[in-house]
Amino acid sequence: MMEIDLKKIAALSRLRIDDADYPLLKEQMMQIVLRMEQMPLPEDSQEKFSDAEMILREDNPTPFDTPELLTQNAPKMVDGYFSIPKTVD
Amino acid sequence: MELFEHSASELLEMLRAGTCSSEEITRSIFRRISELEPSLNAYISLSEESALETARQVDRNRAIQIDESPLAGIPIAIKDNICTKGIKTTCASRMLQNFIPPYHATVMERITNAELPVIGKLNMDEFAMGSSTETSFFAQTRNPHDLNRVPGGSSGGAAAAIASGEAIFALGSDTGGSIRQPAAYCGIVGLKPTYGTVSRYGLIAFASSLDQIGPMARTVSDCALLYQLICGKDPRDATSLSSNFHWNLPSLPSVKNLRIGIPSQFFGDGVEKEVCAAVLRGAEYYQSQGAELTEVSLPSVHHALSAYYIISSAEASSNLSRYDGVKYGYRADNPADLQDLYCRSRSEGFGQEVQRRIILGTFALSSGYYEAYYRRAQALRRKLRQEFDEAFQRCDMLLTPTAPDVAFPLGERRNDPLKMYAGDICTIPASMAGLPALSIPCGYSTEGLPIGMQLIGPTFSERLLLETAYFYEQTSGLKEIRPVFRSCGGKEGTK
Repeated sequence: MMEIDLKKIAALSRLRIDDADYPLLKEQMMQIVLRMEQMPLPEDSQEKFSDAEMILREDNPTPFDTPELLTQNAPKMVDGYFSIPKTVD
Repeated sequence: MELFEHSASELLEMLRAGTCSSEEITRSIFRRISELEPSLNAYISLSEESALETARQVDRNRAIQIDESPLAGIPIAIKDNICTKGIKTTCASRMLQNFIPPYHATVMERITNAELPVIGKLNMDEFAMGSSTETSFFAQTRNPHDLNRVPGGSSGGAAAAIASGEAIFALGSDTGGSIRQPAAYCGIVGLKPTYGTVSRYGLIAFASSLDQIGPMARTVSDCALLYQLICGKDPRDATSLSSNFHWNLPSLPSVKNLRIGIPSQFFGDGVEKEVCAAVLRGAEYYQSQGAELTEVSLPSVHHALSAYYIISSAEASSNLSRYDGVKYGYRADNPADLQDLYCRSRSEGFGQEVQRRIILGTFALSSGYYEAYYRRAQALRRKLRQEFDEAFQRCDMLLTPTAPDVAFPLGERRNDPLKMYAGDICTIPASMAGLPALSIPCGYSTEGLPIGMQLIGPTFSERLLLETAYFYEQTSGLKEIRPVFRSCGGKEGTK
């Protein structure tokens, strides 16, 4: 059975799991994964689910009428920029 | 009868005849909401002022005989994962608790252009991940047939509101059953359309290859009329498809010589006997009216649940990576650094079930496991679709239970994710194959809880499914669906 490195997966997911919650979460994940391991192996190497093609629109930007609405939900703005903790000293 | 007790079709007739106004209908809904909502919790937010303003405008237009769109003036409620410009859209999550979309979803543009008053935003499982509406950050919606039971999910708020008379009809969304299962649990009609026929632009994404917006209502006609309004190609959704759906029934459709497939995998272990019996009675009724029943087999259904949870979780982990506390959404206080900002914002902003699925999805896509899980799930999905296509060579549609059970008690499955997931075994296959599927009530359990019957058809067969359901609704003798509200223990409560 596959082992799950839950701490690594949580880090990749950018989630912080409390130490106290790890055992139960790991047990639940193992139960789910165990069931998934019963799926049959693929019969061919075809990757796509469907042959349908997505038709993309032309890449023509158009102005947004009310640009201030686009930043109205931002938790923290400074001088019109989204603010985050410093990443470079 | 109160106005909220009528169907949309009945109300349209009354509006045309001048026996009521849109404002009166809208006020009737809000009175019902004020009476029941403290017990039901179907809504996250209400828009009384703007709904009444729209209703009054429709009434003014009607008075001076300006041409109205077919559903103008009929109030509608919207699941809270559909963007409504200027109105909070929360996905029932702390992450989006204060999010106000700067634009309308395409379906909302169609709703507002057609002048339907918008009552409010409906409660749901957080980010549409759940089957009971118990993962909502805000409140627990209850089933109006028994307040001690769940309404189903994730469109539980919509189902409960419609079933109780707090809404005439609503837009829900369905990824693995989130329209159909709550429709079955609450005894109403719900349609998951063919994937692509309703634009996903403005639907806050859970699993993009599976998500679909669809109508929920107390009658088949109401569902059909609402689907007609929202379906159609949208250049802003690259997966959207054209639809020439039009609902017009000059007479009762016939089911003579209709070939209905009964897939054996939907009636075995894991489906309650009472549910099987009620659904098979539905099938036998169609047979008594001239339809032909054929047993079919879809072997891949056995593994559809696993494949669904891998694919949907993988897509969810990708879609929800945008919630990082920077441009919108919840942001943790005083982050030590950028990583801390991301991790704490997400860990504090998302509930347990959402985090579980993100972790499952990340795992399925991670190096070393992609082949073992994700590719395998996609292969099974392809095989399942082939099996459906083969079945449709022999029949016009399939008939199955919508859910393997009836509405379960609140809290019963909260700590058992696998048991919760197992509730989706009947709805997931049609989702995985992108096929249209409709749930209609077909009976009640010995405890008086609704049982739902599901019709699954080939792509673009919505009209056939709706006509077949309409036939059943009009002729089977099942009691007309009117709003219910039963207090604890299933006793009739305040009406």
